[in-house]
Amino acid sequence: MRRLIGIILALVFTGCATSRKALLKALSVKEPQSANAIVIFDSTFVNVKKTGSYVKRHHVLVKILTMKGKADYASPSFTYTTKYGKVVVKKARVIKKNGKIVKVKKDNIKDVKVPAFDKFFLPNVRMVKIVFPDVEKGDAVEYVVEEIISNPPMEGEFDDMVIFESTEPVLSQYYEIALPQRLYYRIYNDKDGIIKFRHEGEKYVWYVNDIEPLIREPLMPPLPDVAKKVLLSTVKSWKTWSRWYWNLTKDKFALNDTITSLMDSLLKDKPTRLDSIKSLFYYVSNNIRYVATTMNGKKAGYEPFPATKTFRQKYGVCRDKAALLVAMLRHIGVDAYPVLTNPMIKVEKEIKTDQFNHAIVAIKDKKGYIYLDPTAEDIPVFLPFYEQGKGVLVCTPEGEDLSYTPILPPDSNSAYSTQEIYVLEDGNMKGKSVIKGSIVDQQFRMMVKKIPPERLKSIFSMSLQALGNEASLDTIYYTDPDDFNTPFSITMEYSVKGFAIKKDKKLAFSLNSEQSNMFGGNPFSLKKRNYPLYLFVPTSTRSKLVIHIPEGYNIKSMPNSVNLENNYVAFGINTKSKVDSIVLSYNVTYKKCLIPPEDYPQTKTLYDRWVKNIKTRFILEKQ
Amino acid sequence: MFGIVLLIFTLNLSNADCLIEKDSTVITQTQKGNVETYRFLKIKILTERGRDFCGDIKIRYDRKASRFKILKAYTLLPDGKKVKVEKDAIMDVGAPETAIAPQYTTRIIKAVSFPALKENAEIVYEYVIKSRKPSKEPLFGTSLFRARNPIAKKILILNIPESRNLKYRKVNSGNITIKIDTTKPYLRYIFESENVEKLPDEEFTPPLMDIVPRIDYTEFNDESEMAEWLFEKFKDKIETGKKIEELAKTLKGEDEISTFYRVMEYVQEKIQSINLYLWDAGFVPHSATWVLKHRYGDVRDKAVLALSLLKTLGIKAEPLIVEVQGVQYSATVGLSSVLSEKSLELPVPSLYKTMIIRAILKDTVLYAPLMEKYSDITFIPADIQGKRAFSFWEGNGSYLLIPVLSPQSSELYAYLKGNIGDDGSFTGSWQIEGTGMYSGRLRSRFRFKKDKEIKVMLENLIKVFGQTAKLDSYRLSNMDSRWESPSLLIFISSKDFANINGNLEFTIPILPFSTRYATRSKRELPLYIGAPRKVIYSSEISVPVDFSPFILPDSVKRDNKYNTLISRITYKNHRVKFNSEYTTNKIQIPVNDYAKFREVEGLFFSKNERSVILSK
Repeated sequence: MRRLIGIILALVFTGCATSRKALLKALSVKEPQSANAIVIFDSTFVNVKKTGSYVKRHHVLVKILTMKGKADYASPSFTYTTKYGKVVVKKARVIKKNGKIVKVKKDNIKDVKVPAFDKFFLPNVRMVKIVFPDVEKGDAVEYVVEEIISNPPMEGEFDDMVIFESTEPVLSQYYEIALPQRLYYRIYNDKDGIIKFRHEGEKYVWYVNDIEPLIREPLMPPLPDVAKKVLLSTVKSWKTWSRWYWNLTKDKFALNDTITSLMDSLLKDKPTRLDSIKSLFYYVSNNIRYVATTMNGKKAGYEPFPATKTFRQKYGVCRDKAALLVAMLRHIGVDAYPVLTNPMIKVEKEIKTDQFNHAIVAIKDKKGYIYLDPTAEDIPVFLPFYEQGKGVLVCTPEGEDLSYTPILPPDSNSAYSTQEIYVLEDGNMKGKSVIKGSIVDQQFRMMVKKIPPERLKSIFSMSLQALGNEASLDTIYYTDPDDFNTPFSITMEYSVKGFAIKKDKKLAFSLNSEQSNMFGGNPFSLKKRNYPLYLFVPTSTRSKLVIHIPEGYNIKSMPNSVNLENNYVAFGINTKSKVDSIVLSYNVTYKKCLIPPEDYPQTKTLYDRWVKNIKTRFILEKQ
Repeated sequence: MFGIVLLIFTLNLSNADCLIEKDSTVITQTQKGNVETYRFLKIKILTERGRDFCGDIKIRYDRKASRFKILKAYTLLPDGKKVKVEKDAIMDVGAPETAIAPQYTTRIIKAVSFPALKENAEIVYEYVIKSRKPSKEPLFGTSLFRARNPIAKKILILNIPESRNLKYRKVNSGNITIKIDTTKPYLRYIFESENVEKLPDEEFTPPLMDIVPRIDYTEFNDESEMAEWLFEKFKDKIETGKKIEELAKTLKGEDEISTFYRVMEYVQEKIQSINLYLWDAGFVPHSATWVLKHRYGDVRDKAVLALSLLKTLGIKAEPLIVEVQGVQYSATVGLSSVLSEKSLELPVPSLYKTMIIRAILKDTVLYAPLMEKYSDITFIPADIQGKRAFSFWEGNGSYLLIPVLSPQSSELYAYLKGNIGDDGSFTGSWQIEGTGMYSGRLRSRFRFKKDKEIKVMLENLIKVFGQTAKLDSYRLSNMDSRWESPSLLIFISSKDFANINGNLEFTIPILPFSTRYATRSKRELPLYIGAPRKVIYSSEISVPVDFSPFILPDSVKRDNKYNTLISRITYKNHRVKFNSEYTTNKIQIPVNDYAKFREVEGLFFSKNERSVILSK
């Protein structure tokens, strides 16, 4: 294997100018069981100039083992923004298993506009796609592609994130950068020290050999949070990024008379500063629709539209909405700033790379910053729950350091339900549920605004089906979703045929209450995990249920009360029987966002015990 | 103007997010064959949802073949003020099919984002698309007269030179008035509809083309003309050169049937599928040699290669174009609902979205798809069964229906065997086999997956045996070979399968990924469930000797035209046996019979019908 790696490295460095024999030797690698492809090598060479402009040369050789491998690797595409540079295919060929080399012709290499997706229409983003012809099982595809950036977003600087894992096995991955600037770097998620590093003068190299494929697990953190990776940047301080973005946006905050007169009407009768802030936040959040159109300015993708334009058009992306809100807030004397963030992945603090994909707003007060996300529509709070614990960079004239949004306790991310059900003697049931809580207030308020009423009814109706043979949502109603001063709640009234098994004088039923986390899925389905269990935010779900039993029936069996708890979770059920009813209260609390793999088995044991208990059937018997 | 206001008052706007006040299209064909499509759209925003759904208008066109000119694009505010669309909000962006196959198509999307939208604002959009060159191709197409939002007025005008013969038909119920104006130099066909209610927003509905009123039009005189036109495009692409011959030799089977399927397997599996709809990349396919050389192709290309190989091997086969509704990206044409009414047939090529191959052998007729890679090799995919097709080979045109296979052609069989211990634990095995449609579902889950990925999936799946259920081992068969049906054998142990709480209680599991269709209590549109199928569960579970039945559900036997359930749980000699057969017989359930279907489906999914309570 060591010899093979040597051949591979020779190929990497010579850019496939070596003999066909060497190439075939590299491709003679043992095929891993059940892999669809094997990445023989994946190499990147970056040459950065003092101006920050750079050429990134990507050279990849992949052996195709199945048709899926062909579908995944034989038509790669590379996107670029025309404002910054271009992508050029320098070499693309198929190496047949018999050694024959088929060069990819120009017809099979296309440079086209990226397709529209959802609300993103980006005419100045393009895509280069190579479609490799004549690829069969056992053949390999090889390409050299250069990303040529002549106008970098931040002049004189360079940064990158390199992930060293893939869903297919990788024999060799290599990343080399040469640059005159000082480079800051760090390896992440590599406990075993698999990523090797060397540094000579202006040249820095990271490489790995023989990487097992990454196997995804349900409810695992986003891939960049757990995969082996290297972050590198020439930017010394977050303050540099902060000032850079402030300077990009500061000229966009001018307002005109139309905006200020609207603001006058919005702020009329708003007695407090907080009322005024809320009023402007709700306006931008709910009246400026989210659409990405042509990317603006020299720093496309970063630079927002002027506030006046976003206001006039009544649409924009996050950065446009954020800039408009900052402008409005600053106009009334609130110390507001644009903020770069990423609601999806963890923003690593140590190395100052651009890990951001979203823009929000910060208001400076005596205790620090308050964050507001005007892209999140129809929420009664300033920041949606999924942006808790996320990296934020407030962009100011002086520059700020990276910080993180607060993670709220479980009770602040809650869902409460009260249910009252009447079990009928024929085994059918009638019930009523009222659902509320802070997460409900955000999620369901948005659902009722965004999903058409008929479809909404269908979604809730679907959630009832597991209760019996035929569940009908008789009615659904909710509080005014536009009234942000009143907690939002949804009430459902329903009837269920075949809720209980009726046999002789007995009625037996169970509750569909194997409650997991609020985000779907059974969080403890795996026996053990390689990656943490990712629950987004700490949450608390509480339910109170009153089951009215038919007259003349006694309770023969029902779940016991049980309360289980550790540092990560608390699961509880309390049951109380009365003459004509049973009162139950449930509690499911996830105290942390992440449960690490080492603490997962013990926490799973608690969950398993709890589920076993609540599965117990209620059995009623007629006297 | 007054007319429109009046119409709006008579339209039911409850639950509507936008009102299409006017949607008027004029298609003009010149004597030379140039085509100009003019459209005027006026849409009123009624809700915040409407602002988001209707605020961006995307029109697909081929930039190489035509010019797109916007005549008007502005928002009309409730106070009468106009806000023009700014330059950077008029965008040429890629069409989804360009991302799939940029080497095949040059189509792009003209997207316009309208400004200043709020409740009661109106979008006004007027554009024209003109062909760059005259074309000898006949004109044909389809226009829908009902949508997800109410329409106050919809107009389609076709200006056709007198010398051309246009035929049209109205499909599906709905009021469309038709007028023909013979003022020279054009024949002017005017189709109008007013006051059209919005289409209910329901899940599992038949394709839109099947249920909304529409106009199909064509300049083909009859099916022979369309057949000749199609055949001309394909005939020279069928080749029997040396390379095709060499390949064909390797595909020869024991008999004609096996040869046919070996060829189809080769084309399905070895030629990478470019997932475009039939005419997305024009009407002319690549040649067989080209397809073999490149080893990828869209459905037309794959058909050409399959026919070349079959011809070389002496098997009589032909391509069929088939009407199916698209799901890959927004489709504009789809399925006709007038399947068997000869009088309503109309040769409109754009209605057909895919192709399959039909072989006519001595005693049998075989149908095989071109893009499939998961279902058993002999299976006709569920989305093609019962669909209308057109045969055009040798220039002889005829319409036909693809057969609907019996429920027995798509069977899911799950056999569970195991023991429950005194502590409620379970050890046993679950054998799952799928034919037809279910063979595809099994393979799509497990084929091309790594061992560790499969284990993660199965650990999740077996949670129906209890939260502590453990996967002891598994065995998959026939995942890569599609000549035999695939199966999955799982060995499971679980500590909490049964609850022992004085009684011994457990629920016999079913596979957790079955789709439940009839979730809403009432429907306004038919329920579309796809190919007929059968699901068979058979379980045999030993229980501790000191327990006997306390509550066992009654046997169930329900039967109607659409679905059937026979289910029985018995206890004998410390064994609980469960047998259940659930069959769906039809592709579509009419609104009036929905309740019958729902009752039977509800019983099949009911946990109570599979619940066992034993006592000491």
